[in-house]
Amino acid sequence: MTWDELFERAAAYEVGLETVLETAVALEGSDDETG
Amino acid sequence: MTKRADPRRIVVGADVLAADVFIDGKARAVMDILRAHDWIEVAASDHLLSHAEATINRLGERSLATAWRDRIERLVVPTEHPPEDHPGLASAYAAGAAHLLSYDDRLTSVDAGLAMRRAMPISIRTPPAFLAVFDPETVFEATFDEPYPGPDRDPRG
Repeated sequence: MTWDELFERAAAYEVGLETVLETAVALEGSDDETG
Repeated sequence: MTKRADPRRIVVGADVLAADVFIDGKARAVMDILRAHDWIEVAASDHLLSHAEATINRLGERSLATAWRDRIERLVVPTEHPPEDHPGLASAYAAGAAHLLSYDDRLTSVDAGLAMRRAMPISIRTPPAFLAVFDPETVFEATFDEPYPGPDRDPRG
Protein backbone atom coordinates (compact mmCIF):
# COMPACT_ATOMS: atom_id res chain seq x y z
CA MET A 1 0.00 0.00 0.00
CA THR A 2 1.38 3.44 -0.89
CA TRP A 3 1.25 6.39 1.50
CA ASP A 4 -1.39 8.00 -0.71
CA GLU A 5 -3.56 4.88 -0.55
CA LEU A 6 -3.15 4.79 3.21
CA PHE A 7 -4.15 8.46 3.53
CA GLU A 8 -7.17 7.85 1.32
CA ARG A 9 -8.34 5.04 3.60
CA ALA A 10 -7.71 7.10 6.75
CA ALA A 11 -9.63 10.12 5.38
CA ALA A 12 -12.83 8.09 5.52
CA TYR A 13 -12.73 8.29 9.34
CA GLU A 14 -12.93 12.11 9.24
CA VAL A 15 -10.71 12.50 12.31
CA GLY A 16 -9.65 16.01 13.35
CA LEU A 17 -6.34 17.13 14.82
CA GLU A 18 -7.75 17.72 18.31
CA THR A 19 -9.09 14.18 18.44
CA VAL A 20 -5.75 12.77 17.30
CA LEU A 21 -3.88 14.69 19.99
CA GLU A 22 -6.33 13.77 22.76
CA THR A 23 -6.18 10.12 21.79
CA ALA A 24 -2.40 10.10 21.61
CA VAL A 25 -2.18 11.57 25.13
CA ALA A 26 -4.77 9.11 26.44
CA LEU A 27 -2.80 6.18 25.04
CA GLU A 28 0.63 7.23 26.32
CA GLY A 29 2.46 4.19 27.59
CA SER A 30 -0.09 1.77 26.15
CA ASP A 31 1.97 -0.19 23.66
CA ASP A 32 -0.36 -3.15 24.18
CA GLU A 33 -3.32 -1.34 22.56
CA THR A 34 -2.15 -2.64 19.22
CA GLY A 35 -3.12 -6.22 19.99
CA MET B 1 28.66 16.88 28.85
CA THR B 2 26.04 16.87 26.10
CA LYS B 3 25.78 14.35 23.31
CA ARG B 4 26.46 15.55 19.75
CA ALA B 5 23.33 15.80 17.56
CA ASP B 6 23.11 14.93 13.88
CA PRO B 7 21.14 17.62 11.95
CA ARG B 8 19.95 14.98 9.44
CA ARG B 9 18.36 12.86 12.14
CA ILE B 10 14.80 13.59 13.27
CA VAL B 11 12.40 11.93 15.69
CA VAL B 12 8.69 12.35 15.08
CA GLY B 13 6.36 11.96 18.05
CA ALA B 14 3.45 9.54 18.02
CA ASP B 15 0.95 12.40 17.91
CA VAL B 16 2.54 13.83 14.76
CA LEU B 17 2.80 10.39 13.14
CA ALA B 18 -0.90 9.77 13.75
CA ALA B 19 -1.85 13.25 12.54
CA ASP B 20 0.06 12.55 9.31
CA VAL B 21 -2.19 9.56 8.69
CA PHE B 22 -5.57 11.20 9.28
CA ILE B 23 -5.19 14.87 8.38
CA ASP B 24 -3.94 16.63 5.27
CA GLY B 25 -2.20 19.34 7.28
CA LYS B 26 1.11 20.50 8.71
CA ALA B 27 2.12 17.11 10.12
CA ARG B 28 1.76 15.57 6.66
CA ALA B 29 3.62 18.48 5.08
CA VAL B 30 6.55 17.79 7.45
CA MET B 31 6.44 14.06 6.85
CA ASP B 32 6.37 14.64 3.09
CA ILE B 33 9.68 16.51 3.41
CA LEU B 34 11.17 13.67 5.47
CA ARG B 35 9.83 10.99 3.12
CA ALA B 36 11.13 12.87 0.08
CA HIS B 37 14.80 12.85 1.17
CA ASP B 38 16.71 9.60 1.48
CA TRP B 39 19.50 11.29 3.47
CA ILE B 40 17.15 12.48 6.23
CA GLU B 41 16.93 9.81 8.90
CA VAL B 42 13.67 9.39 10.80
CA ALA B 43 14.58 7.58 14.02
CA ALA B 44 12.07 5.80 16.24
CA SER B 45 11.94 3.12 18.91
CA ASP B 46 9.50 0.25 18.91
CA HIS B 47 7.75 1.92 21.87
CA LEU B 48 7.24 5.14 19.92
CA LEU B 49 5.88 3.31 16.86
CA SER B 50 3.60 1.18 19.05
CA HIS B 51 2.15 4.31 20.66
CA ALA B 52 1.39 5.79 17.24
CA GLU B 53 0.02 2.46 16.02
CA ALA B 54 -2.27 2.25 19.07
CA THR B 55 -3.55 5.77 18.32
CA ILE B 56 -4.24 4.92 14.67
CA ASN B 57 -5.95 1.68 15.73
CA ARG B 58 -8.19 3.54 18.20
CA LEU B 59 -9.18 6.24 15.70
CA GLY B 60 -9.42 4.02 12.63
CA GLU B 61 -9.19 0.26 12.59
CA ARG B 62 -6.69 -2.54 13.06
CA SER B 63 -5.99 -3.12 9.36
CA LEU B 64 -5.22 0.58 8.87
CA ALA B 65 -2.84 0.57 11.84
CA THR B 66 -1.15 -2.58 10.56
CA ALA B 67 -0.74 -1.11 7.07
CA TRP B 68 0.74 2.05 8.60
CA ARG B 69 3.18 0.05 10.72
CA ASP B 70 4.34 -1.83 7.62
CA ARG B 71 4.99 1.44 5.76
CA ILE B 72 6.62 3.35 8.62
CA GLU B 73 9.01 0.52 9.46
CA ARG B 74 10.42 0.81 5.94
CA LEU B 75 11.12 4.49 6.59
CA VAL B 76 12.57 4.65 10.09
CA VAL B 77 15.96 3.91 11.58
CA PRO B 78 15.26 1.83 14.69
CA THR B 79 16.48 2.94 18.11
CA GLU B 80 16.25 1.34 21.52
CA HIS B 81 15.65 2.65 25.02
CA PRO B 82 14.30 1.39 28.35
CA PRO B 83 10.50 0.93 28.27
CA GLU B 84 9.95 3.36 31.15
CA ASP B 85 11.52 6.27 29.25
CA HIS B 86 9.52 8.82 27.24
CA PRO B 87 9.48 7.30 23.70
CA GLY B 88 10.06 10.57 21.83
CA LEU B 89 12.77 11.98 24.07
CA ALA B 90 14.51 8.66 24.57
CA SER B 91 14.44 7.90 20.83
CA ALA B 92 15.94 11.33 20.13
CA TYR B 93 18.65 10.84 22.72
CA ALA B 94 19.49 7.30 21.56
CA ALA B 95 19.61 8.40 17.91
CA GLY B 96 21.52 11.59 18.53
CA ALA B 97 18.72 13.44 16.71
CA ALA B 98 18.81 17.21 16.30
CA HIS B 99 15.01 17.53 16.12
CA LEU B 100 12.01 16.13 17.93
CA LEU B 101 8.60 16.95 16.47
CA SER B 102 5.60 16.95 18.77
CA TYR B 103 2.35 18.76 19.42
CA ASP B 104 2.75 18.10 23.16
CA ASP B 105 3.17 21.46 24.89
CA ARG B 106 4.77 19.67 27.85
CA LEU B 107 7.71 19.15 25.47
CA THR B 108 7.54 22.20 23.21
CA SER B 109 7.29 24.89 25.92
CA VAL B 110 10.25 27.22 26.40
CA ASP B 111 10.93 25.90 29.91
CA ALA B 112 10.88 22.29 28.74
CA GLY B 113 13.14 23.12 25.81
CA LEU B 114 15.71 24.75 28.06
CA ALA B 115 15.67 21.82 30.46
CA MET B 116 16.09 19.31 27.60
CA ARG B 117 18.96 21.18 26.01
CA ARG B 118 20.94 20.86 29.23
CA ALA B 119 20.95 17.12 28.59
CA MET B 120 21.15 17.08 24.79
CA PRO B 121 21.37 19.66 21.99
CA ILE B 122 17.90 19.15 20.55
CA SER B 123 15.19 21.41 19.19
CA ILE B 124 11.64 20.36 20.03
CA ARG B 125 9.06 21.92 17.75
CA THR B 126 5.51 21.53 16.56
CA PRO B 127 5.12 20.71 12.85
CA PRO B 128 4.19 24.34 11.92
CA ALA B 129 7.24 25.67 13.80
CA PHE B 130 9.51 23.07 12.20
CA LEU B 131 8.19 23.93 8.71
CA ALA B 132 9.03 27.58 9.37
CA VAL B 133 12.72 26.90 10.10
CA PHE B 134 13.77 23.62 8.46
CA ASP B 135 15.24 23.95 4.98
CA PRO B 136 16.48 20.68 3.41
CA GLU B 137 18.75 22.59 1.03
CA THR B 138 20.58 24.36 3.87
CA VAL B 139 20.99 21.17 5.91
CA PHE B 140 22.16 19.15 2.89
CA GLU B 141 24.76 21.67 1.79
CA ALA B 142 26.07 22.15 5.35
CA THR B 143 26.31 18.40 5.86
CA PHE B 144 27.65 17.15 2.53
CA ASP B 145 29.40 20.26 1.20
CA GLU B 146 27.73 19.67 -2.18
CA PRO B 147 24.92 21.45 -4.05
CA TYR B 148 21.46 20.33 -2.97
CA PRO B 149 20.14 17.86 -5.58
CA GLY B 150 16.50 18.24 -4.58
CA PRO B 151 14.13 15.56 -3.31
CA ASP B 152 15.29 12.04 -4.14
CA ARG B 153 12.25 9.96 -3.17
CA ASP B 154 8.52 9.91 -3.86
CA PRO B 155 7.01 11.03 -0.53
CA ARG B 156 3.69 9.31 -1.24
CA GLY B 157 4.91 6.14 -2.94
